[in-house]
Amino acid sequence: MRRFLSFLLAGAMAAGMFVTTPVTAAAEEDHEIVIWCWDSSESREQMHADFTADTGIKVTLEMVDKKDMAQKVQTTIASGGELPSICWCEATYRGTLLNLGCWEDIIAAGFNADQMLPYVIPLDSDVNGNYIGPECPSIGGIAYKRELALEYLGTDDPDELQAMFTSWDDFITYGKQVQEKSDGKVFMFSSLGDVGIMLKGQGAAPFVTGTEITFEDSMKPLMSTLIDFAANGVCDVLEYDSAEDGASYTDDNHIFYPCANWSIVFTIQANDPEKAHDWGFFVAPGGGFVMGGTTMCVPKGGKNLEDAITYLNYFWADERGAILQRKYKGNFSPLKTLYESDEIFYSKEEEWFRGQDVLSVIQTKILPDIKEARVPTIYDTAITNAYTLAYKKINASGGDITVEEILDYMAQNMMDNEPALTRAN
Amino acid sequence: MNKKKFKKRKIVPYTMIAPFFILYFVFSLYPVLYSFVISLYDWTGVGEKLFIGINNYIAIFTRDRLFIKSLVNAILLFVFTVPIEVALGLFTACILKDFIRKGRNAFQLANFLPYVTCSVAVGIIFQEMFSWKTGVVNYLVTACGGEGIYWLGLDWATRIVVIVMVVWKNYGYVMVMFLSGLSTIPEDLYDSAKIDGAGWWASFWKITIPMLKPIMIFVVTTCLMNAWKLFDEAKLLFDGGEQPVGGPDNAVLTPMLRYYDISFHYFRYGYGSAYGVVIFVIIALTGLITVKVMTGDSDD
Repeated sequence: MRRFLSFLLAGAMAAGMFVTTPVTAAAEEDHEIVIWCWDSSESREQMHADFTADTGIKVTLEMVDKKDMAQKVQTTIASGGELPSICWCEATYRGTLLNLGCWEDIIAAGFNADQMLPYVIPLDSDVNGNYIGPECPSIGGIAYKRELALEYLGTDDPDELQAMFTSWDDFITYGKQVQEKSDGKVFMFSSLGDVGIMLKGQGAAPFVTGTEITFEDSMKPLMSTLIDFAANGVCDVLEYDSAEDGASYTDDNHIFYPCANWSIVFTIQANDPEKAHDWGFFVAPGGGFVMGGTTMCVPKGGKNLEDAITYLNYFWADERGAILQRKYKGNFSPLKTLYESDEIFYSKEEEWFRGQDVLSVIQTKILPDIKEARVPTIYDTAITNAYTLAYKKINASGGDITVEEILDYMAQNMMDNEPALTRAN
Repeated sequence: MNKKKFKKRKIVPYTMIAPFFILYFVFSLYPVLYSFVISLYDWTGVGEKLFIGINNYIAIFTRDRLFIKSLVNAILLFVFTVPIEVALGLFTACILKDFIRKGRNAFQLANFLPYVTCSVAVGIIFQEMFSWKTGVVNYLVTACGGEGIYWLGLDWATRIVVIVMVVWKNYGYVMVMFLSGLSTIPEDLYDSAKIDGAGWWASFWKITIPMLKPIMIFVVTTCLMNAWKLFDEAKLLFDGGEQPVGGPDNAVLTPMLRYYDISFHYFRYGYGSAYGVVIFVIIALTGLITVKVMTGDSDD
């Protein structure tokens, strides 16, 4: 029946094309790639217009919410529908997604990965070691509201603040002072999730090794710090990445926020469009961290594989594409050569940051220190769910909970969802 | 009538009803049957299927703690939502019929609106209303001298929020059902009762409730079946940002939400399909038992 319906649909579509599409347009479409993504901004269209001018390949963007991407890909494959040339796969469920076995090994298909930053290769590979797709490095530090920092911490200078905050414990020490000074109104962070995302991004020790849950060196220190933050009341209790969290960027009650290179435009400016605050930026204690990241995946059987690989090579393995990404999107390139010369490739006086050159700080002070990142696993969905449950539990307990209790709770939830998992430590 | 004419007259009605059956087969029956087939396989939705017989069903009933949890959650939720929805719907319908003449349509519309409001909007509104720090509910609680509650972070509090959401959204539909039932009860019965000295309350118990029995059976059965299928409210309340599926401690992880999670987050199509089949059986049994219990020995 499915084959019969597909035949009917294909017939109808073909008939429609013959009736309405001129021959010249059909020829142009031979060099068209379709991307399922969640950004169709004007700047991206302009970037693609330059690409089309250089290569003759037309780019069509089809909007898919990042949360729906996995489902959309899966149902399209299951129903035998038409797949795009490229899909964006966001970091949260990447481990599960990359290992579905439905993606091209893009190196075998002609992608040039020789010049990639070494840490991004394992991030975007499946369990068999196939490189699935490139991503722009997403690395971050800490952004802060200068007025509040000056009022409650005595300085708004990034270097002085970085000298003050040399460990995560310093945030607790100063946070208690800020709370006292503000009669409990001002918090260091708007949610524990802010601290959590930075700590998660700083570590590379795996949460799961093979089929064993290995929390001792990975989740344990992370949860221990979160419990300390909650117990000392220096973080507010807004839901992380929610509407109320977004609104907090303009208030006078929260000082610090995690800030990746893409956050300047997509988070800070988006949540504080009227520039209610002057912002500052410094390197987090313990160094930079990986925050987010989106892999450009090429589905097997997708449209125009050759042109898709050309697109990926152009934007991720070539300086011309890196320049365009920088110009239109502010995205960092994974191209190693850009960071090996003395020349600063990413530099911009940020209006929202009182002219501070945040991108050059990221390029020169953060990126060189990132040698490895936590490799995705097929159990990422279970890990993420357990983490969000734990985060709520810590919030609800007000920090009155032991790290062992939290880890047991997380491990049990992961094993409930992934029966193959066992607890090692 | 000759044979040819008879045949022609017979073909026409079949042709007229054929589109429905074709659509029903393609979009309803075939997917249901195919789901059952998939439930016998280990399949991610991509790549090869591995036939494993009834192992998915065995796993659901013997190893899946969250399956039991989801059933308990659903029962806990409908123990509260169904009686409240029915009572509130019936009460509102009676009040509207007997006491409100002017602006009755406006009241009806106001009560029915939540039922047709976009679930996504409802989810966002309730998220905002029940926010621990900035929600209007905690604002009222603290204004009354209480302490703000972490509504979306505690298991019992989350269940209360979902109960409120479900009741608020659905009781308008129940009300409309009862209103249609009330309109079929002859006014003569009420007039006779009034002449015999019966008050509103007595008429309600002796006339309204017995006469509404068929509607009551329909409403309770559909409410129970919908309660097993509870999905939107539990999902949307924890949508956006980093939120656990099923809320804190999986407190509102319903069977449908678990089914969705398994299929589309864990990519276990075979296992998810087995879940779907089990839920289907549970819902069918619920419907049958409810109708049987409510109709008793009568043939209503």
